[in-house]
Amino acid sequence: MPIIDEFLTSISNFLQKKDPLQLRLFLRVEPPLPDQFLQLSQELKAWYRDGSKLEAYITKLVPEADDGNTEVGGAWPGFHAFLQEYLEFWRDVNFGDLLETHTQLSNLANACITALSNATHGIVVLPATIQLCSTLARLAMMLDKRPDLTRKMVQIADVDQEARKTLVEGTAESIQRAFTMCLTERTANRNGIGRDGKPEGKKVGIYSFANMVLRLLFQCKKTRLANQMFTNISQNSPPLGLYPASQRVTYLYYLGRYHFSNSHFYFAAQSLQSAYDQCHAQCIKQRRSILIFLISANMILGRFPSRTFLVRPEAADVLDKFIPICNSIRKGNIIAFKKAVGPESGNEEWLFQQGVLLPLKSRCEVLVWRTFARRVFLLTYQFPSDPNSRRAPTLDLEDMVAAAQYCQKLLEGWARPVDSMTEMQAGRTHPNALFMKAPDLVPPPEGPKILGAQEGIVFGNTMPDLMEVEAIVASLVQQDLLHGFISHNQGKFAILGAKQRGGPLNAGFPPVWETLRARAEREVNNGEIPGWVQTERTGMMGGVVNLTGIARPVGSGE
Amino acid sequence: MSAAPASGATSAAKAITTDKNAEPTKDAKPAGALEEDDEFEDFPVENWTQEDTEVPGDNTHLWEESWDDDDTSEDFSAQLKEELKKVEASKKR
Repeated sequence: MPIIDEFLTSISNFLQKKDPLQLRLFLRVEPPLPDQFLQLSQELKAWYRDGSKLEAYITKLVPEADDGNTEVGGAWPGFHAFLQEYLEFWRDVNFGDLLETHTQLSNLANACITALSNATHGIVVLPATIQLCSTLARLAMMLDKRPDLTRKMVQIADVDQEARKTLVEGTAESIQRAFTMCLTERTANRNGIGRDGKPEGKKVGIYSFANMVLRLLFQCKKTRLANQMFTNISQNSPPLGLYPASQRVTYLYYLGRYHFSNSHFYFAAQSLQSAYDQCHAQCIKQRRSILIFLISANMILGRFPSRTFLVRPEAADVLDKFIPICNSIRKGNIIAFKKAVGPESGNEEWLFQQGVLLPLKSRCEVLVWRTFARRVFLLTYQFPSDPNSRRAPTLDLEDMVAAAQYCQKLLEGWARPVDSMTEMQAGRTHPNALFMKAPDLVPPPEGPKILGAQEGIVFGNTMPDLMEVEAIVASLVQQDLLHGFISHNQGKFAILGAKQRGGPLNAGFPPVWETLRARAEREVNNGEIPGWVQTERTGMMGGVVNLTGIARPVGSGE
Repeated sequence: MSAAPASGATSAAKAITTDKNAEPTKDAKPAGALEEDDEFEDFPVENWTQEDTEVPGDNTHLWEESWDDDDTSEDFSAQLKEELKKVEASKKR
């Protein structure tokens, strides 16, 4: 008996028994595969070059379902079309030409997704669709890293003179169709949860497809296209907690990265923390990937990685990249900060490749200015001799300017002049030196080092002045990172509430995390992170939205 | 074919695999070798329990929220102090 007969009979059998897992086992395309697949391919090549002949044969061996009898399953037109596409794939495929294989696999996946769309029978091909799309996504990712293979495509696009979608983006779009199908399926229960407490019907596939699409969108750097997906998930998905751990963690990782790339660092940190906490303890690589963004988001929010991470294998080579930045912020050392995020640290390239350098540079600079102001205050403030003094503690902005200028000079390569007396004493300093003023810095003989825009204290070689420093302090006050007000006339920053809040340092320089968390929490409307469904949705599509308690008469005030 | 496809997964499977690997995936490294590990890998298992996620050691104190450093004896502070003294002196003048 030819293997194709055996194959089609088995398929028909699985359809009748409604066995999605056996179907998935038979409808594979990704090696390694049993040798029957090769035989199947050879038979198809030998006997079924003619598509219409193949079509007739499929229809004969895999009969359509009898709509009168719902107990026994069967094929449907969409499935027949898919099955023909599948057999033609095995007839024509040449794994030596991966670009062509991708096109064939794309067509096959599209046919499979169309088969999936059948409202009555489609569900039986869900596992097979996930499997096919997953293979397709992997192949697209692989091809994306092989410009030598995709060059041909680019040339064709050039001829077309139009902005063609990349292969990865096109693949994401195909798979997104399956995702939408699963997400928007009308289910018996409005919340999409079955009696067994699991997602109902095709909704079980939501996050499998979502994760594939997200991976592809991140690969082709079109993350903004994920926006609509997250909005739709927020509205229509059963809670994420009902899905398997691998899907939850992968999804939260991408959701976290999406929020990170949109500068929603609080949402990012929440999603990534949950991904990290739910990740399998032994999956070090995945934990490491999560950790890179988790640490970055937390640092921007004013939370630094603790010593706990020192013993964690996933943090082994990661922590070293971030610690110098944290230390520079702790001390308000702007020079060390510029070095930690610059080429001198040796980490710049790595941080850039990970996609965290620019947010860290721009966001943490705010934090280092806060501690810089705090440091200048610590060094200049004279605690009043009268404990009942009612004068507000102040920071003189001129002091800030002097300190900032000093840092700028050091960055430009200024140095103290060599003291010839000390030189002659073979490095021993005269005791009088203790009482002498340190000499002023002098510019390097070859002229100040030319600094890039972000390498200087404010902008390149611009020497910071009072106007700039006052603007920076005002901005910190506006962001609640400094607590007090500026007296422009006196050129001072005055701290408010020093008495009530346990001293000027606590009052004037509240912990960053407290401030930023409070601000972020005000922005979270219903306590849920956008894109992360934590509670059941009851007002589903097609359902009636209950407006009791929401609708108020016009003009009722609220 | 009706037998479990796991049986006899030898020669043909290899043939196909070899076909795919015959493409020079390994010898011609893509330009961005650095990009290699920035991808989130698939998990080897589909599901696991809460116990599987537990790592030894302290899990409650992952983040430092209060990290301001009041020590002004280190080098950077000493230099700034020196500089600020000069400003102080010029103010009095």
